[in-house]
Amino acid sequence: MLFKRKQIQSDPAELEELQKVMEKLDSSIDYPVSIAPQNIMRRIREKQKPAVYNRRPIKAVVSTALCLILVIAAVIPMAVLHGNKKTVIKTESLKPPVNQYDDISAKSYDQIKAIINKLNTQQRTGTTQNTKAAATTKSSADAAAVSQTNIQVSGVDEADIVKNDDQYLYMVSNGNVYIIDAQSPAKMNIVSTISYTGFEFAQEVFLFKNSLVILVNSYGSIYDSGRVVAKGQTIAEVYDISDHSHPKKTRSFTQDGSYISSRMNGAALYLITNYYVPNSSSEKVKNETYIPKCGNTSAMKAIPAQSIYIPAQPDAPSYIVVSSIDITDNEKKVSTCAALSGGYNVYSSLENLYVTSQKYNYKKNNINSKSVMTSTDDVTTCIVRFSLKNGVVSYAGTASVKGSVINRYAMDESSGHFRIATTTYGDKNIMINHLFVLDDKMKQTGKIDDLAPGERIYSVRYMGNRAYIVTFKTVDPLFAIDLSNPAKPKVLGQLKIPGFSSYLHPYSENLLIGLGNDTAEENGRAHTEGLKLSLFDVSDPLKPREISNTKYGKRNSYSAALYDSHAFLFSKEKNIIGFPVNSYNASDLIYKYLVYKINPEKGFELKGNIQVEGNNNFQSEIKRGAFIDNTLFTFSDQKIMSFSLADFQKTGELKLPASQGGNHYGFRCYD
Amino acid sequence: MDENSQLLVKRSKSGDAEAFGELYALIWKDLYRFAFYTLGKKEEAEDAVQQSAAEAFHSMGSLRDAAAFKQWMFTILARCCKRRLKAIIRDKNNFSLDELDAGGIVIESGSDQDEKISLMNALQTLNPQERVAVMLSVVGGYKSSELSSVLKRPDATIRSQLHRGLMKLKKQLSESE
Repeated sequence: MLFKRKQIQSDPAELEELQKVMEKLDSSIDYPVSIAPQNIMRRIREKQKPAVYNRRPIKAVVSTALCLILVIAAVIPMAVLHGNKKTVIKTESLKPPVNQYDDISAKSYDQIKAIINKLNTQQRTGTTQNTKAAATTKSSADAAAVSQTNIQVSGVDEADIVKNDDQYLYMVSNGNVYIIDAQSPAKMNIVSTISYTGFEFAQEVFLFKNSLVILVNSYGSIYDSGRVVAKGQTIAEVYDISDHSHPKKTRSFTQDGSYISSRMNGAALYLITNYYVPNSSSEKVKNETYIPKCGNTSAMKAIPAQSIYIPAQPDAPSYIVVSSIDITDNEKKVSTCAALSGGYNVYSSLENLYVTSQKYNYKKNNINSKSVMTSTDDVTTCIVRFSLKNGVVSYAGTASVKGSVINRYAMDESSGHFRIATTTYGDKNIMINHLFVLDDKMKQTGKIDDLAPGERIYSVRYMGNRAYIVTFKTVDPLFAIDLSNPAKPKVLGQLKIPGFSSYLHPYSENLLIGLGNDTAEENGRAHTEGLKLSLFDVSDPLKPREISNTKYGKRNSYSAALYDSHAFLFSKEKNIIGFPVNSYNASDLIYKYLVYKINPEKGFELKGNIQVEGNNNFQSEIKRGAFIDNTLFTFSDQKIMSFSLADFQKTGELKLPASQGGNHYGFRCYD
Repeated sequence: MDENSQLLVKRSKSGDAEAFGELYALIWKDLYRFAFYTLGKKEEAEDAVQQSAAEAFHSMGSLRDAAAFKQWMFTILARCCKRRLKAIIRDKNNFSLDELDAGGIVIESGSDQDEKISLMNALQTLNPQERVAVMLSVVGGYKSSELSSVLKRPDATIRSQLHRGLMKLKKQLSESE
């Protein structure tokens, strides 16, 4: 007997009816502030995963899920170890460029205006373009007793949402800045608050002696006969906090563009923004916006044409703007430099700043009989270098390499050379990984072109003339690569183990810590399981070994430290690692902070397992841990807690003011 | 999708969080409503939207056609909600008034209070697939033909889930009157 499959049609009348009922409910909905556009943008900026990745589920073809760890060998003894010590980088072959780039600085504003107009027109019509390129330390007496931000390059400070000295905690939460007296953990209290309203919110801070530098996201508006055009701006505010209860603003510097990153070297603050020229048809708006402006907030000026550089074939009306500001001297001239380029990842050594962006190659496609530009897998990374010699910013060259970078840890400058590790998605969607070495003129001297085909890079760490790269498909190799010869970088050894590391941290010259995920296979596909901490012995680069590992949590466990190095707390002196963890217990999301003790022979021991009690929402997610002497502090937008580092008994708690509702919705409200 | 939005998508793909924020601003309330009705709890919905926004931004590379941004965002959000739904449904059955008050709906006293409660309760009787399918239609505005590309399941399966879901809701709502 033949069955006829009954065609089930959804009934439009039913839908309409339901829609009407739902509309009544719609009007009662209370939209949470935490997911308003401005806050989502802020949250996205806090995590630094690059745009290219996670496009494909991890496919398992091989039967065992192993991790391949590449050891790129070092022959030259290690000159650089990450830590709280001052770095000694030999840069004698890295000469500061003098006048060699004058030929590509802009000759006049008219020249730039013509280029911007052309680029904006191209943006509208979708034409494709191809492009083919101080040291500050805390007083060393306190270094061991006070935790610091986990920075990439010793001597180059990075802004973060939490900073501390030996008595006070400084935290950015929900766009405001709180200064907390933590001298007595059981009686923590907020001594002052610097709050931001409307379109301004604080992103992150620096602490330098008695100054607190606050990086603030903001917007500038241009009015033109009833229309408002908004452009992103970033403000660097300097506060004198000698009297912690009464911070005094001593400087306010505003720069066009959305905040990309910043660094500090001594008293020099480097502010990097990305300024996109608004695409307006109004002549008045065009004239006011095609050149980025910066300066003290009440006296911003357009950047002079000769400080604007036009690398070959810019493909978008976008500038990278870099300024150097001495935060202790308001009279000292600020140096600013801009390049017509995009910029999203920033790596800085003591001498140079490198800003990278990704360019997709687009091609015409027919989709539903319409001609549409779609992106291909052909990605290049464009690198713009700025010299920071003597605290003065100047343009120092551009280079392009194929592929995309995982994050800023894929880059390093050492011994006069710049190294960058990328992943390309080649023909037929096969991933391949590369490592490029560039000289002080940004020219390629050597490369490795075919690392781990079929896998992509998950983490990179450079240690002097050695690079460690973790790639993964279902197998995660750790590669050790030798960079001692800039013309011939080569793979020395590799290790295959289950799971993969998303973040690598040097423990010592011969030991490397990896934080990542464990993986398992199901029906031919690999998926991530719980978190995994590994200790790798790389003393023999030809044969890297995993000495020990420890796992935590089940599937769907996550840590911010996987992607944001600032969430990873490390202290060699105390031999501890700390990081936040989100895990699920049945249907409940649990927020935790874990502290492990490291034993170089035996591995890791879980000492602190801090769990947030009560009703969990995003405000209670622990974002950072920091310590002063023997007290550990954990930070969430809801509260700061203190614990003894000896036995992890809770010693104090400070609730932060609830986030404001209403006005903080963001730069545009769509209803 | 207008050319300005196309440009925003291009910028987002290169990692521009501000551009992504503008795209998100166009649809964020729809996203939240979808998550809230599907998951039934404010915190869960917040979580889902946050996670999906971050996931979307970081995987913008996989968005080929800029015009499909809204649909693509809903796909990610729907996936996220389905994952959570399975866990939630295992443990909870019905809404109580307490949960609704805390859960992000402002219930004023009045004649439609009961109606709102019964609607939320009715939603609970749907299984995850039905709930997602119904919400995508009602909140996301998707036609059933479009749903199959969002949910990555055959057209006929989606339509039957949608139909069953609507029937169940209708039944629940009329019974509670």
